[in-house]
Amino acid sequence: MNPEMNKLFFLDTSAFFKEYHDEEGSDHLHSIFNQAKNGSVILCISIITISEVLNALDKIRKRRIISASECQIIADVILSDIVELTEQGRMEIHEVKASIIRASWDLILTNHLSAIDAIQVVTAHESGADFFLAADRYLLSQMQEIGLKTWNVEENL
Amino acid sequence: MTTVKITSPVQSGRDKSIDSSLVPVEIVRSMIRDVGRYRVKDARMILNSRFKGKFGDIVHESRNE
Repeated sequence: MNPEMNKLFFLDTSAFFKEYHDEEGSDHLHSIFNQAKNGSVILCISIITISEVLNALDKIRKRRIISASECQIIADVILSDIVELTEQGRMEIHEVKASIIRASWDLILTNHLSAIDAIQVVTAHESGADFFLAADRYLLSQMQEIGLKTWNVEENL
Repeated sequence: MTTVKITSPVQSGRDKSIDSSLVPVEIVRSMIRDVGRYRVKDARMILNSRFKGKFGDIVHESRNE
């Protein structure tokens, strides 16, 4: 994908992780993070993504896939990357405000999204992002319904 | 498929003061235990050598359990 100056890319946690773990779609995330670091695009995440990242790392620690010290190293690296990008103005971390929670309740009951999916959808909507990136087909379909441009990062745009 | 309607006071787009909805970076920094010792390539090396699944599946599992 060619850089589009200062376009906002909202990253769902399922997409965000691909920058740090090589899996399907990681090439796209490496390219997008490089574009952000070069000043071409701005990344957006919800603060809940940080919770989900730490939760996922702790899950694989509990399954003894990584050790406690490795878990801490990875968490520190990812958090440091977020801090660096944010300080450079290349990432925005969006709060989960009460108004976002309120809006998410409708999506839970009418669109049968999980609580966190619904929060991600509403936060992306509010952020004014140009693209919503995820690796979850149902979540992406809901984003399309509210008019956001989406990208399943496991596929080519 | 049911159409998504966001009917709350939440406003779409960047026609409002975005600063009020952004998290101060100090909150994230306060969680870092060991600043600058390891780099992204170190984290990737650990994760790629240990974890063979997809993190999207772990995230999906947590959201729906």
